[in-house]
This record gives sequence, C-alpha cells and structure tokens, in this order.
Amino acid sequence: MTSTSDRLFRQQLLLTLLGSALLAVAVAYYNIRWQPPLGPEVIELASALHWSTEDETGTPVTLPNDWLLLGYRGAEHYYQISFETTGDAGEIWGILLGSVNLNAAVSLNGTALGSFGNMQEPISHNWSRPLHFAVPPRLLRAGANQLEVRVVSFPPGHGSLGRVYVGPRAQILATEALMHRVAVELPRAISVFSLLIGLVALGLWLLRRTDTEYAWFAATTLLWTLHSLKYHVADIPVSSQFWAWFLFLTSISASYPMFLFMQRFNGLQQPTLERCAYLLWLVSIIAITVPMLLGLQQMYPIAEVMYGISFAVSVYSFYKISKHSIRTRSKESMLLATTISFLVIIVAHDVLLIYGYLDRTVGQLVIYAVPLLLGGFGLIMLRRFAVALTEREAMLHNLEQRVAQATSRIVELETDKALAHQRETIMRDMHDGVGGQLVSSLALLESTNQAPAALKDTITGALTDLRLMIDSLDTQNGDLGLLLGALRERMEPILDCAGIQSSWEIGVLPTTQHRSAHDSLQILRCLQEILTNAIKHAQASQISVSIAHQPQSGSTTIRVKDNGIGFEPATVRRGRGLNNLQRRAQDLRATLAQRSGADGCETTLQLTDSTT
Amino acid sequence: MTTILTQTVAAATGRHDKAEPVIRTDPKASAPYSTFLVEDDQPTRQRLAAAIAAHPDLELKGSAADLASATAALAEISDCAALLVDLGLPDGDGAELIEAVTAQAPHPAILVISVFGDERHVIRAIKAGADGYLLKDYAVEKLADTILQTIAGHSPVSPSIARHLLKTFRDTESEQNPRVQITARERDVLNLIARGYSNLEIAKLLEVSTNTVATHTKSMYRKLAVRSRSAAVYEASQMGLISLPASDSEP
Repeated sequence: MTSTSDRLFRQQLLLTLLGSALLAVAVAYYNIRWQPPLGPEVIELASALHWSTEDETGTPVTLPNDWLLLGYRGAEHYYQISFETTGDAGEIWGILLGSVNLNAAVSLNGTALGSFGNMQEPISHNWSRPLHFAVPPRLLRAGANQLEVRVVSFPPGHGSLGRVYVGPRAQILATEALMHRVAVELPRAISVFSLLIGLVALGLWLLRRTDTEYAWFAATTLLWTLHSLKYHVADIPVSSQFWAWFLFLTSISASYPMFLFMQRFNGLQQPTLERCAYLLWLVSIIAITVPMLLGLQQMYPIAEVMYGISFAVSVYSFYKISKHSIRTRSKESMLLATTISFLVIIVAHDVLLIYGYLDRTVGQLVIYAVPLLLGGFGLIMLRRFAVALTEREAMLHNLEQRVAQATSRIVELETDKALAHQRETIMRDMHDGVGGQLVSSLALLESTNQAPAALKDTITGALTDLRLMIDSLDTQNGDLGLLLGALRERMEPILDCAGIQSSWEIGVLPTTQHRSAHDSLQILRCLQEILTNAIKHAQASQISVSIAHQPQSGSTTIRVKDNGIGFEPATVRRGRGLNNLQRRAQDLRATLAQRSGADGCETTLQLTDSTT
Repeated sequence: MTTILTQTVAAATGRHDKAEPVIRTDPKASAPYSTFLVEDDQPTRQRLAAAIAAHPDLELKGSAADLASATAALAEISDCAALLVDLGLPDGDGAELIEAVTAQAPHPAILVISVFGDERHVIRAIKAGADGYLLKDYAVEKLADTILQTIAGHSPVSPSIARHLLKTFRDTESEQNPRVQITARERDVLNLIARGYSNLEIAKLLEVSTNTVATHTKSMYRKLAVRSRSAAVYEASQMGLISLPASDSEP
C-alpha cells in the first residue's frame, strides 16, 4: 500500500463526510423553512380554527398542522380558515393545499368546491400531495371569506394539513405544478428508473448466477419499486389496512437484501450473521402480517418498530461497507459507502418523521435518495465494464505478442531442425560410407600382416578424425563436458596403445552456453593436436587432461600436461601442428599458452564465456 | 548438472573395467560359454569367430550369415550363453531376431555387432532388447572380454551411447510410468558416463561398487527396451492393429 493511495483515500473519506454533512443541513433546511415560489397575488393562509368530530368548539392553530405531533386522535378533522381579499369577484381563483395526509374536501363560503377521490373507506391516498381546487367566479367575495377544509386520514390520528394558499388561478396553478413535479412526478420517474436498474441487475444475475450480489441488489431495487407504487396509485383497489401493510412490507424488507448485497459485494463469508438477517427479515414480515390478517390496529406501532430495526440494519450495512473500504482501500467500496451514507441520512429523517418527531407535511424523502444508490451502483457497473474492456484489450495485445514470439521461435526451431537434419544426413553418409571403408581397409591390412605400420597409423588417424568430426556434430548444444567425454572415448585407446597413462578431470561446467558445431570441432581438434604432439614427440608416460570453469573470470580453462621431455620454444621449428593450434585458438577467440620445462609440457586453452 | 559432479576424480585407469563373471542367463551354464554368431560380412565373421575360438572361456557353437539360417540354427541350440548379431542382414533386420530371442526366458546375452560404435544402430538394438554391443574394430582380446562381461550381466555404455540415452530420456521427461522413467541416480550415472568417466571412477565418485554402477546401466537398457515396446504397443493400438486390455497390465 503506497502513501499516495493513502492520501487519495483520506481525501475521498473527507469528501464523503463533507457531502454527508451538507446533505444533512439541506434536509433540515428543507424540512423547516422551504417554501415554494409564489405568485405576487397569492396569499398564504397560516391561521385556522381546528376541531375534530369529538370537539365541540374549535381551537386556533397555525398551519402546517401535524396531528401526530400535537397528539390529535380521530380519523376526520376540520379546519376553518378566514381570509380577506380585494380580488375581482368575476375572476377564477384557486385554492392550493400544499400537502395533505391523506385526503381533503374543501368548501368556500358554504359552497363545496370538491374533494380529491374517495372520502369513504377505502379512502384515496394522496400522500403529502398538493391538492388544487378551482374557485368559480363570484364565489369569492371582496372582503371576508370563509374556507372550510375537511381532512380524513388512515390510520386515525395520522393526518396532517400543510400550508394553504389562495390566489388567482393562473398563479396558483404555477405553484401547484412545481409542487406536483417535486412531490409526485419526480418520485414516479425515480420509481421507473429504479425498476429499470433492478431489471438490469436481475439480468446480470441470470447471466452470471454465481454473482449473487446482483440478485440481492435486484431484490432491493424491485422492493423499492413496489413501495413507490404509492406515488402512482391514489385510489387504492384494496382496503386501506391492506395497502398500508403492503407499503410497510416493501419498505421494511428493502434493507435486508441491501445488507446481503453488501456482504456479497465485500466478498464476506459470514453465514451466522446472514442467518440472523434472514431471521430478522422473516420476523418483521410475520410481525406486520399477522395483525393485518386479524384486522388489528396494532399493525401500525409494530410496523414502526420494524421500520426502526430495518433502519438499524441499513446503518449496520453502512458500517460494514465503510470498514471494508477503509481496510481494502477499494474505490468501489468507497463509492458505495458514500452513497449509503447519504441514504442513511435521508432515511434517518424519515424515521424521525414516522415516529412523530418531525412535521410530516413535507413527506418522506427516501425516494429522492434512491437515485444516489442506483447511480453509485450504475457507476460501479460502468467502471467494471470499462476495466473488463481494458483488461480484455491488454490480454489480446499480450496474446498477439506471445503468438508472434512463438511464431518466430517456431520458424527458428524449424530452421534449426532442418539444419540438424542436414548435418545428420552428412554425418550418416560419412559414417556409413567413408567410415565403413576405413574400418574394412584396416581389417584387411591387419589380416595380411604385411602392410606397413605407417599405412595402418594413417588409416587409424583418419578414423579417429572422422569420429571426432561426428562427435562435434552431436554434442547436444556444445556441452563442454560431453565434448570432453567424446574426446576421451576416442583418444584413450590411442593413448593406451602408446603406453601412456592418462587421467581426466572434468569439473562443474555451465550447461547453459550454446556452442556451435564448428567451435566444438575446433576445440576437439586443438586437444587432439596437443595429445598427438605428446604421443609423437614428448616421449611422455603420463598425461593429465583437466577442464574447469571459473565463474569469477567468466572463462573455462582446459589444461593438458605431460611428463615428457618438453621442447625449447625458441629453437623448435614451429611445425604445422603448433601453427594449426594457434590458428584454431584465434578462431575460437581463445587464449593458448604453452609452457615447457624439464618436467614436461603444459598447454592451456582458455575459452571466455562470451566466446563459448 | 548434479551435485555429485562437483567432485573430480583423477584415476589413471582404463575405461573398461574387468568384472567377475556372474552367470545372468542360465544358472547352470558355466565356462566355456557357448556363443553363436550372426554376421553377413565374411571377413568380420571370420575375425570374430577366430577371437571367440581363441579364448578358453568361450566356445563357438555356430555362425550364420543371414536371418533364416540363424533362426533355424538357434532353434537347435539349447544352452547358448551369448548371441552376437549384426543388424543389417541380407534377408532382414537383426533386431527382429533380437526381439524373437528376448521373448523367451531364459535367453542368451545378446550383443549387437557395430561399426565403430554406430550409436543409432546400437540404440535400436538396445530398444529391441540387446544387452550390449561389440565394435568390429576391437582388438581380439577386447572382443572376448566384452562378450564375457555381457554374459556376466554388465551392459557397456560408451560416452556416445550415454549421450544418446540422455537425449532419449530427456525427450520423454514427461513420461509418468516409473518402469520407463530413469531415476535421479541413473541420470547421474549417465551424465558421468557421457563425460567420459569409467565405471570404476563413477563408483568412486558416487561411493558405490562397480556392480551397482553396472546395475544402473543395465536398468537403463531395460527401461529403454520397455519404453520402446510400450511405445510400439501404443502405436499399434492407435492404428487399430491390437486392442489394449482395460487394466494397465503389461501387454
């Protein structure tokens, strides 16, 4: 791990924390102070007289008015709002209820303006939606007007009435359109986006069944998509209790597959922990389903507890992914941790709202956080795709290079093989032809017992020479040890015949150096020449041949020493043999040294590794 | 190169070490050992026959100039201790005769007659089951010595033959069958022979007896023969000429 990656990681962590803090502030501001832009003639009606069906007299209240915050009970509440206007009685006006839970009916100056959807069970579910009512001409009086709003909620005591606006219809509609976009259209679009991403993740899992992280991500997003049906459906086709159960079920359930997705994504194998998650998930489902089936109102407080537990699971997921990203410094984990930290902040807002600590007229915000998670996931997928493409290209490039190398090597080997075959053919021809003839001639001469010794020697010499040539062609990559072995095999019988005892020392030699057949033959001929000189001229009784490699100087030394009479270099005419020796040593780029004394002659041939 | 080669040996000795004659073929056989000669070149045949006849421990039972008469004559001889075979016979390949003879047990020690150590022919003969080789240009005493050594169970390996063996075994290093794969010790011995060391020098270097060295060389000969036979069986089965049994028993 480098310090650069540490620094980058710290920067990313800082950005995440900063982003989370900013988001928390933004959520708080939105909750407390946010106002939609209003037309110049639009009036906000903030004071009302409130009573429920159980009250005999009204109580003055300020709008927005959240029943849960104030401890109201009952399913039906009334608001009487007085206002004065100088507006033209002939103009069409409008009334805008900024946010209603769940539904409202409005009348102005004793005349009903209408309601949104069904006010009886199953009542319409207009979750925190802006409701707009048109005021017909002449209904609005110049001066004092009385607006009456009837709000129904489900379950009882969970209703609210947000800000109320009155003004010329065109101006009211402009505000209503903006609020509608934010509160209804945007969540609807997000739910469609969520469905698409969920289907993509599901498709990925179907194509790669072993990557179960995609399956759990698909489950999370598809559960959210089901939950967001509340933005699409106001007039529910089922009972209010069943609809509430369905919405609780889908929102509570979403955090468990998300936790499992994190586990898979982090590559964590924690079966016990996962079994706990499965169990908790099952308990949550049973805990809200049983009261729903029995028609008990206790479903709501139980669901709120389960929602809290589900939130705790989300927080735990955030903790785990953060820990993992800190440990592994993984960019993908860091990105997910960031998006989930944002999600947790927004869900925390919703939990406070559900528990009645925040004004619910602003509505739940979690739907707006979903794109963050989906976007993070999408970015990770894109990154993986790009990385996979890059890796594939690199692999292809690498493969092409290897194929090219292998091809050139094959060509090289084919050439070598062809050359070796040619050499072998020549060798065989020489062996079977010339060699056979020489052997037969020698046998014939021996059988007659009349041939001159010189002729026999010549033929024997020719045979030895032929054998050395063949050996030089077959010394397996010019292994010096094998070359010396071949020389010993050929020369030892000749030395024995001449009554010379020979000793051979072959030390450790490198086997990695390649030596050509030509060089091998030159070395063999050099040594043959030295040994022949010893036999013919030195009158030696002992010869030692040694070869040793000197890794320090990067050379190999072959030393031939006899105990003969030696020679005087200054007076001995440089015969053909000695001249040949020098020439061959030069050809080999080797150093040849001869020392002669009373104790015999020593010849060294030093081959440097670069020449061998 | 193996570690044992870090030592060197300076032994002023001849390559071909004497070995005490140990009967390897028929326990009842004893000197003089009956020998049979198959060689089509008349001067060579006469020379070899003379060398055998001259040695007190060897007895020439007969000779043949072609495959057919050799097969017929060998069928009549029951106590042959050594068989000398030339490969290039006018009516066929000497290797066929070697294969036929080695199929029986016990069988005589088989030596292939070679022109100055023609490695290719010698290797082919070893693959067929030969135990050793004779060079046509050996001196008379050496011919008899070599025959006796082979009867005693020694398999001569010259440096050039060792080079060929090294190459052959290296070419099939992936071979998994231990019956045909040479051991590390055998490879050491082979490396030393190829570098010109005599059996005696190798025995000193490896601190073993010369008999152990000879056992290693013999074992390598056998492995080469088994390898060649199993390769032939495999080829035959590939060509559909024979069907291999399901078990891994030796065909």
